[in-house]
Amino acid sequence: MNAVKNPAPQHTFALIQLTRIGDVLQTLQAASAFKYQYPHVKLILIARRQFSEGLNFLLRQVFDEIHTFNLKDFYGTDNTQDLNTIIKNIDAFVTDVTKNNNIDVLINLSFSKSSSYLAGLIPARHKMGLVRDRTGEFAIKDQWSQYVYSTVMAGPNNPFNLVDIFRKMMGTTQIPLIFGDENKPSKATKKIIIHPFASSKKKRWGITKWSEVIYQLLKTIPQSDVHIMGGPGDQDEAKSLESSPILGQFKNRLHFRVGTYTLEESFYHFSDADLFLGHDSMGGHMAAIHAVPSITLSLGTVRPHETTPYGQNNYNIAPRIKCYPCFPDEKCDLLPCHTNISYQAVVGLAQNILEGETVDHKSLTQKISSFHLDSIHVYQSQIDPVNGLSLYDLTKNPMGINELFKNFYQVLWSFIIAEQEVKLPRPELNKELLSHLVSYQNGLAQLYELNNFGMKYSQYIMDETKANSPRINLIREYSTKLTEIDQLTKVLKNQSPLLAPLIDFYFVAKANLKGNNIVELAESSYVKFFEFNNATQVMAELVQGCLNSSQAKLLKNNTGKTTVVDN
Amino acid sequence: MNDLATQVFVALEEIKKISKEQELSIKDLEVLFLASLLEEEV
Repeated sequence: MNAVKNPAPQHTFALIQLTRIGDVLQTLQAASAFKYQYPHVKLILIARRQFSEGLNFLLRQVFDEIHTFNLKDFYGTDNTQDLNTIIKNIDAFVTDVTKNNNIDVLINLSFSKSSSYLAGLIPARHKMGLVRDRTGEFAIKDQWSQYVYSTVMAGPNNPFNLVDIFRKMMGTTQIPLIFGDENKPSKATKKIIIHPFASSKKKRWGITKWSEVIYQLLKTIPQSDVHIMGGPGDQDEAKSLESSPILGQFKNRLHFRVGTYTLEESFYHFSDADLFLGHDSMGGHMAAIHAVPSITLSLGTVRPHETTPYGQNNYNIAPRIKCYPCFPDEKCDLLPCHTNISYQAVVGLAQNILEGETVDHKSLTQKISSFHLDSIHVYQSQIDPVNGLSLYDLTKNPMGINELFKNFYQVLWSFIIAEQEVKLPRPELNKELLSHLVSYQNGLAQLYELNNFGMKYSQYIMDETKANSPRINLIREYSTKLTEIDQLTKVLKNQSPLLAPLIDFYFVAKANLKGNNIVELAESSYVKFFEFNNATQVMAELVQGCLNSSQAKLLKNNTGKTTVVDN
Repeated sequence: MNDLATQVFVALEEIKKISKEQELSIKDLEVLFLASLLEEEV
């Protein structure tokens, strides 16, 4: 983690991260990789004090300057309610960030409205991420930022870990560094840290289920201690857990550190741990920085591909249920995804990891019955020095169309944006999946045709503007055609929802066309339709490749409709 | 003096009157930043 700080910085990068502690830790991991590769760049962090102050001991190792604020700061010492005074205080904060810095690159790594306005307020030569321009509208110029806006913020189809997205936005090819020793000696008594809490009810199990997990772990692994960690806000639930009757016999091996440790003490508590177990929260990221293996239980809104702790051989158990993952504003009283994961599956995986043997499909099926494995994904993280973190499902349960498209998008975006080739194992396709693919093949063919029309009408506009006497009525007519193409593409998106990330990415790109006049804009429009078509072709080839490799026969009837027939 | 929420609301209404193509002042952007912070804090 100790990134080298160079005394003579040549350029200044500033990162905005206004969201929670887990996000600040993921930002830290990406920043440590950047600083290692570019030690001469001055790195500044702008964060909310409530989410970053406790991590200063780590942040100071990577960032040259840290600027923090809380909303209350802007009210001033006299707790003013006067808008003008508050605005002056915001102005003073921005001035403080920039007074000694000419920021070359400002990157907003948080996906919130407030961060986009703050990014608009801080002067910088180049701005990336969610940024507002002087009209108050989004100005999303680079491809990774367009990707974040169109895919990460729009739905669950993002195949990349947030740490990888952050470091790719920063432009580093370095993989994040770890703090501890990856090859720690094995100990007789295993130290298991559990953080059974999370920021929302949707994302965490109840105390009863955690009691079962802890009981089974302590019972089946006699040489182990369990340490429960949490913040001051988790103390009531911790008390319920502590008074659980089934855990009474293990009091000597169960240690509660809830609300009593600072973040720094919690962090160093991981240095000799053998396993971390918890929901999506900062604990998993702390474990990853120490290279401690972890099991994350992803529930509700949590997206394993984005938030799995960044490291080799971390595990993420996620429910196999259609409504998962949901959105934060979706109401759900029954929480069906919570019952998909059984304590038997969690304990079986924990035993497998602590025994120190290879964790793979075979070992998993020996430890956990297929009854418990059928309802979950057990993702294992693998880090490739070029592409970063990928997840592989060890259960080998049949892949759904959403997961298959997530794989396609991993290949597509790595190729289009990062110019990197990703090779993924060939998926096993069943008849249902093949039928979906045939339908999407048709959708992609229509998209290709629409883009061709887009290129054609952009070309017409370019030709007309270059004529000696450009005819305005014709230019208007061609512009109307481009609008119609966009409308038809939106209809296609509704019919083929898994093409939404592809379509939205180029919609965002087209909304941010480069150019100051109609000639430049028409040229940019042509280039974007051309790039859109290339991406559509790559996607079509991926779909075709899967269809070709399958054992099923595809039959075309008289109307040209393709159907899937078993071989 | 009106409470802060009312002052922010009035300032936002004034910003809405500005045409979409026209540039906002720094103060307008600061009001929008404050309003979004207050909104996220709830």
